[in-house]
Amino acid sequence: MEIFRYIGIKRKVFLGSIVLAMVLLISSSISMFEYTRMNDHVAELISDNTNSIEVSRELLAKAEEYNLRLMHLVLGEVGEESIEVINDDAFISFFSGIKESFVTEQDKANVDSVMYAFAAYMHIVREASDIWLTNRDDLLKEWYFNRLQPVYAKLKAYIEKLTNDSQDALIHNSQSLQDNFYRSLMPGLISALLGFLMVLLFNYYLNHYLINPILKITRGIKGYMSFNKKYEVKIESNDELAELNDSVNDIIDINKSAKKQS
Amino acid sequence: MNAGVISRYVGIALICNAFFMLLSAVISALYGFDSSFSPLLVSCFLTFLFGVFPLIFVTGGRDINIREGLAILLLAWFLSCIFGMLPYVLWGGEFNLVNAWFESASGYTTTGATILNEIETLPHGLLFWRSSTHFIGGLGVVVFIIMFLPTVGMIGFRMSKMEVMDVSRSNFRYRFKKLIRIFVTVYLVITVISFAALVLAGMSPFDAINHAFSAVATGGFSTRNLSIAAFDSPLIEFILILSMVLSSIHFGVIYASFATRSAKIFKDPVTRFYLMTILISTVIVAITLLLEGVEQGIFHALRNGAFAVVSTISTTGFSISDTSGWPILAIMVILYVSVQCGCSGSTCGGVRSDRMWLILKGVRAQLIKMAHPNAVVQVKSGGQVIEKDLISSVHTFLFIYLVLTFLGSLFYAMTGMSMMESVSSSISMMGNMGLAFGENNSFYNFANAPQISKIVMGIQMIVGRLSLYPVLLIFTLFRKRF
Repeated sequence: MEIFRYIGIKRKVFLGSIVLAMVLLISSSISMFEYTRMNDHVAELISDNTNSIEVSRELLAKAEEYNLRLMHLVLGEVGEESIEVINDDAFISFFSGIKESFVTEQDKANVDSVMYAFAAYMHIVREASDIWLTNRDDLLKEWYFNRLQPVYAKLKAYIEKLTNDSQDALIHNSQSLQDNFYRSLMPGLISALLGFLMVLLFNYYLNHYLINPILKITRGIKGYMSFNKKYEVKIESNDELAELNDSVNDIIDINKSAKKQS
Repeated sequence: MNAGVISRYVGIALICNAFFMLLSAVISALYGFDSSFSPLLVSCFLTFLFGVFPLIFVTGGRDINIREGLAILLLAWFLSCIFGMLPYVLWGGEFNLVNAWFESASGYTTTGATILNEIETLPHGLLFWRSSTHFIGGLGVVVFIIMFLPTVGMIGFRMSKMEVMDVSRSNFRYRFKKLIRIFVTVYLVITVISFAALVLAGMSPFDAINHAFSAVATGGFSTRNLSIAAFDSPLIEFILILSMVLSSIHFGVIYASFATRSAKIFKDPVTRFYLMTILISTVIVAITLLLEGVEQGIFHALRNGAFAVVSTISTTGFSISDTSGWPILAIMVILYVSVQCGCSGSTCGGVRSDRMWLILKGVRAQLIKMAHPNAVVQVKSGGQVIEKDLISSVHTFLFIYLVLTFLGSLFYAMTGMSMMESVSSSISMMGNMGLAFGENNSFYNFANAPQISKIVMGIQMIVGRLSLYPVLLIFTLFRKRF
């Protein structure tokens, strides 16, 4: 630590200010970084959760729409000559696309369950054309209610689970956000507190090591000039103030000897 | 007291901490810039800047008095714990302010108690920082300071007389500065040997360095949730037992044994007393475990008994089995050794074997005196007469130690902890052991302890680690001269 032994006043104040400025810079950078990170995190989480819920709802709507259309056909309300199996490519591509919208492992597992349930559903739906051709209402209804409906119920249950889990995640995330908010404040707060402490220390050092010695020297010179008191000022530091004190001592000695001579 | 001078030396201690933060950040970088890199780097900058600030204004070379020395010692420890919190707080996870304070104080005081439920999820940089706090604390911030202090010879000597009991010093005579060098040398040698032996025994270099830091500092932080039990290796346990025993024997005695190529370790009465305590306690615990059917076979009983006894008496706190389910006799033995602890002049905390040995000697002398009222009975150690002042100072120390332990137990009980948890936690915190009974047993942690208790535990750890220094400081504040 020898490098700090002989530092001039100018450098002391400069270095002190630099250190203070750096602490303040770091504290403000941390605060900004934490704020931005928190902001992005919040926005991303809310967006992910609402997106998941929205997608789950869309899934449910699509599945219901599909099932309703089949039911109309089976009950003969539409009066179609033949049943056309709905092309599931759009549904599959939709599923593949939305999988990335879910962030948690639980949600991803739920999406997989939905996909498997949907594949099972489509497998049974593909039997529709053959049954339609038999032109037997009882077979068609038996197929629809006993084979298709249980699988559809399963698919629906999985989609609802996906929706519920996404909603639960949203509630959980909003709770953990409160903790994270408190936590994101901490780093900035701590570094700002350090900066504050260092400002107090800086004030102490300026007073104790720079201003007080000047006041001591001034009082010493005044005491000598006004009351001819002995000049006995001691300076702790090794800087220009110590040199000034030595010089004042020398001048007073010269002055004393000049007075004696005269 | 000169605040400027105090702040200068506290600043030097903080720069030492900043260096280890930087080292941890390097480790983090080596492991692919894990999530602890930026918290460690920012903490390093802040700690360094705060440490270097006083050095700009306050010049060295001035003698310090004992009150300033005590203030430096206390502040250096306290501020090290505060700045040691920064990487934890900035990283987040399970660390809120209180948890970070507990973990930091536990690290620096080499207590080794943790609030972490999932240690293995911590990034490498932060795991290394945890162990580094043990390493820094083990040798003591005071040693770091004294190494940089050319003018602190006298205060250092007086402190060493408080810390290093004359009983243990009887087997070696070194000047204080050389003593510091000896401490550092022995400390580093034990670390390096432990590291190499653990790597050879099959630990990964990262685990080995962390456990070597922990063992030499008699800390107890592990990189695994199950502590040493996770490795399930008798060889690793044996190496750690040796490291813990060596680290809790007076470093000067160890150095003297090697320097003079003699068996001074076994000639020193305190070390003999300490080793005998380990041996007898291990045998009692092992027999109890066998008789109560807790362990099947003499090997397992001795293995578990020896590890638990050494881990506790050396105030390390590693574990290979859950001691809270052990028979009451074994628990009582463990509680006793957690009060006696290792030798002074080592890295362990607690009452220490030197004082316990003197107390037993004093009791023996008193009994002889009662039987023969006219006899001149003196307490001797290795042929030398022990001064009465020393014995009475040991009694004072023990009294204050027990009072503080009792007050701690009382406080924890008031915050809702059970009797067993309160008493064992208080003994554990005062002795810097880290293990407790009840819910905070060998494999659990203090995560569920009340928040206010965690804060007080942190303070109790520092008080225990610094022995009587904080009490002395408070005492001297009310006296003009010391």
